[in-house]
Amino acid sequence: MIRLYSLCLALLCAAPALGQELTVRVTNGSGEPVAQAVISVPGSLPAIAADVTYEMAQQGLQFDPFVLVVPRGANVVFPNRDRVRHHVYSFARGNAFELELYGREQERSVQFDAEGNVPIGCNIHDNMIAFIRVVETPHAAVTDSNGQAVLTGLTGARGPVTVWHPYADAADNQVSIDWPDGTSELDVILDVHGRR
Amino acid sequence: MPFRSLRTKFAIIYAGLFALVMLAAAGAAFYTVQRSAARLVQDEMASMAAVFDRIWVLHARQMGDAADILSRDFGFRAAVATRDVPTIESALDNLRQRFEFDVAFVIDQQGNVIGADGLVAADDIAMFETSLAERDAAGGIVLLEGAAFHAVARPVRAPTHVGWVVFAYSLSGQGLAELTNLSAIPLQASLFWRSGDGEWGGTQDGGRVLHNLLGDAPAQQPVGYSLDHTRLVSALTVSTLSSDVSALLVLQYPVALAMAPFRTMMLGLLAAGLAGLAIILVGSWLIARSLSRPIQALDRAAGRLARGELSAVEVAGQDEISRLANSFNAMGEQIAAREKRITHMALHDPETGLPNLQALEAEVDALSADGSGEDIVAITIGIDRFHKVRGAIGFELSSQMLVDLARRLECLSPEARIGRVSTEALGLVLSVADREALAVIAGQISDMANQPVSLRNEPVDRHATLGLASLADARHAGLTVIECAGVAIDQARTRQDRIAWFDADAYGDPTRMLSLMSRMSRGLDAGDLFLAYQPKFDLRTQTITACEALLRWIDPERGFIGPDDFIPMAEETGHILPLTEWVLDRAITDQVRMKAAGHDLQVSINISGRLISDPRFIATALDRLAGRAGRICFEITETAVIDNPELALSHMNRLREAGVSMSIDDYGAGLSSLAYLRSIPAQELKIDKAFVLELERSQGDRLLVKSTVDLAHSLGLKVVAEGVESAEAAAILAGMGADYAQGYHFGKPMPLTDFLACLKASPASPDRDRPRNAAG
Repeated sequence: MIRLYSLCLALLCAAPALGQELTVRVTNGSGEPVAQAVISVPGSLPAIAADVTYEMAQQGLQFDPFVLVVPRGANVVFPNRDRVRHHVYSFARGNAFELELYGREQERSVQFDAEGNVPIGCNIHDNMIAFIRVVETPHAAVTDSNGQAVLTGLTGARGPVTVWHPYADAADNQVSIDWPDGTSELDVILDVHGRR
Repeated sequence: MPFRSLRTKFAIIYAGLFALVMLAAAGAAFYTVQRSAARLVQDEMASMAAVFDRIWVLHARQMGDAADILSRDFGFRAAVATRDVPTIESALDNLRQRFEFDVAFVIDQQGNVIGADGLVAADDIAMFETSLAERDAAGGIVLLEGAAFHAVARPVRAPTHVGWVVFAYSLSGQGLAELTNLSAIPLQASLFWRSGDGEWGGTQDGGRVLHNLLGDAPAQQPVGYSLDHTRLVSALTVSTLSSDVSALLVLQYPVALAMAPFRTMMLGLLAAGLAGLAIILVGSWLIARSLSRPIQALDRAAGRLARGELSAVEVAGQDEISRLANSFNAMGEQIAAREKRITHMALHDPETGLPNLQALEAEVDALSADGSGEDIVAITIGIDRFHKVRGAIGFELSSQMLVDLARRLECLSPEARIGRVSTEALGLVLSVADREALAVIAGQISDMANQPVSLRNEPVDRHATLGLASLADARHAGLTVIECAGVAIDQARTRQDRIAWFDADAYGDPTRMLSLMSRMSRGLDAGDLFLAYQPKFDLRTQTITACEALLRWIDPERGFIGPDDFIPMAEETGHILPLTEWVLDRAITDQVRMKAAGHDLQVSINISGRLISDPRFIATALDRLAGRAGRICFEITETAVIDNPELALSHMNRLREAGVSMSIDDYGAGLSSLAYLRSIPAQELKIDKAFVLELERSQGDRLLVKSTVDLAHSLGLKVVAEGVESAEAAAILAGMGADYAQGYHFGKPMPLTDFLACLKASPASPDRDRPRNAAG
């Protein structure tokens, strides 16, 4: 979560001139907050800052985080903090990769060059699953446990707010909502089911 | 049920009972076997159904496992995720061949089917997606192109859901048959399905078949019989991929096939039962025969015994029947012995042990049956005064005397048959050629029989008379030859001879007597017998005051039969009683007619001496004479009181008291006893005509008559003289003081009409008739 904030901070810092913020709170039909949803607003992506590191760790036979949003061309490291080895893969079109069996002493990283959702699994542990959403915009964030995410630096940014969740009950697991100028807070309702 | 033979009865009852028991046992066994067989088969069916269910599940799991393996294979997932169709198809083919699946395909996330080659229609894909969306590891019946498949589906995750891998196994054709091959019994499996609440269908003609098997409301059932009861049925609900479709897997097992192993047992049971029945029939027959055979032998022997044959049965064994046979044999022997004794007794004299009359008669029959032509002769030797001798020397010695004589006769004439023919007589039967020789033998016998004998050292005089008769003589006389010889003894004794031949002429014809009596009875009815009346003349009053009724018989064939010819015979044969009653009745009737004609006469009737002692006659006489007794007089001879004086005199006194007059008839002709004359309660005495007929000429007769008249008068009796034939005699009698006279001089006996006419003509002057009577 700290990393997520740092991502947000990084995004905010990258566009200090853009002072407008949008707080999006995602709930399901019952009013419960939906965490791990990716909020994004279209924008133009600047050149990738080399010092920004994205991490999809493996710890306790789980990926961490469950959902990671990265800009296109970002490099994501897959540190193994378990004592077992993992075989991480994805068959996502454009972003397919395979990190064959490696342990904690070995560092692996993948660069994601195509926009899209990348489901990540472990060939050894079927229950390990995570999603990396590769976006073509700097305005993207993941909701916290309260279902809230804050997009900053939106000055000049146009286009609907897209809310995506890997298990959302919607076409392509996402909804897009227009937001009027000057809106700083937006409530989005998105029904989410369990993993299938 | 009546049986003619004990054997049949035994056999049928035994066999029937055994067969019944046998049938009951066989029936029970059959029923039990049938029941337990049915239960066994049902249990087997149930367990087989369970096994089949398990097979089904295992099969599904096997398919599922295969699908699992494939769906988790990294390369395959990679192929599906990247839509590498050739790789997917090759992988599916590979597995299909390895596991012998009929169908294997993948439905990817875009709803495209890979590897099914057009088998799966768009509707099917939608169905799959709808059905599978709810489940992770789906399996069940699925219908593709109208055919049933058993399918399993597994999701392919890479790592998110990228498609379904589906394996399916065809349930049409060989598919189910191969499944049933795995069960232990030859089950037949059929699958039926329906969509929603539609009609049940399935393999060919499914609805009707299912109805036949499970009835109108097919549902899961463990084990039951089909509607037509020819099959055992077990229905399993099987899962379907689509919740719209329900499916029933029906296992069938023909009952006939199920019961086949037991049918052998049943046939064995039946064969054993039939064999047992046959053994029982034969055995019963044999037992019955062995039981009834001795009884039949006894039956036959008893039949022979009843016919008088000597009969015994063979005895084997010691059972009841053998004991019965022993008893039967003993009984037969005893009967034979008794019969022998009876025969001996019948043909022998018990006192002397000599053959008896019957034995000798049998000998006569035997000799005459010989037909040798020789004359058969019987000699009887009668011991004179045997009863007196026996009284003197006793029964034992007298019979010993007879035995002794028989022994001697035997020595003298060995060829003759000797026996005792009566108490006092022995008899010999022999056949002889000529009478000369017989006379010699008879003489020798007579000499020997007349010798004194020594009995217990006591000399005893013995006299014997011989009677001889031949068979030829006997035939004329109507007697047996031995009877004739017995008669000859009497004839010899009458002639004071020692030996006599039977004299047929002297013997007369005994059959004559009987025929005469029956003739007399007929004569009474026909009026051939009648009463004639002879007047009794009162010498004092010179009138006829009484008459005597005399019985007369004029037979239409034989003419006049005198009273001396039939009265003694009637006395001998007992006919005298009805005859005298008839006379009494007729006399009473006639007396009434006389009185009607103006002649009140006393009527005298001759009563046989025997009847005076007969209570029957006395009762009848008293009955008939009640009220008229004084005018009837019973004429009785003195002999009436000789045999039983007390009874006769008491009867006479009763008659006298009843007013019946009595007259002593024929006085002086028999044994006139003064004692009887005194005691008989008579009023009248009739002097026999023998003293009267010669009265005119005989001085002696005159004296006798005179003294008799005086005697009678002194005893208070009237005197009647019979046989008065002349006026002289009548005058003499009148002079002597006689009271009445009777005889031809006064009138001979005449029928009633003549008698009445005579009375009318000369009621009081018999003299007018004298010349005519004297001439007669």
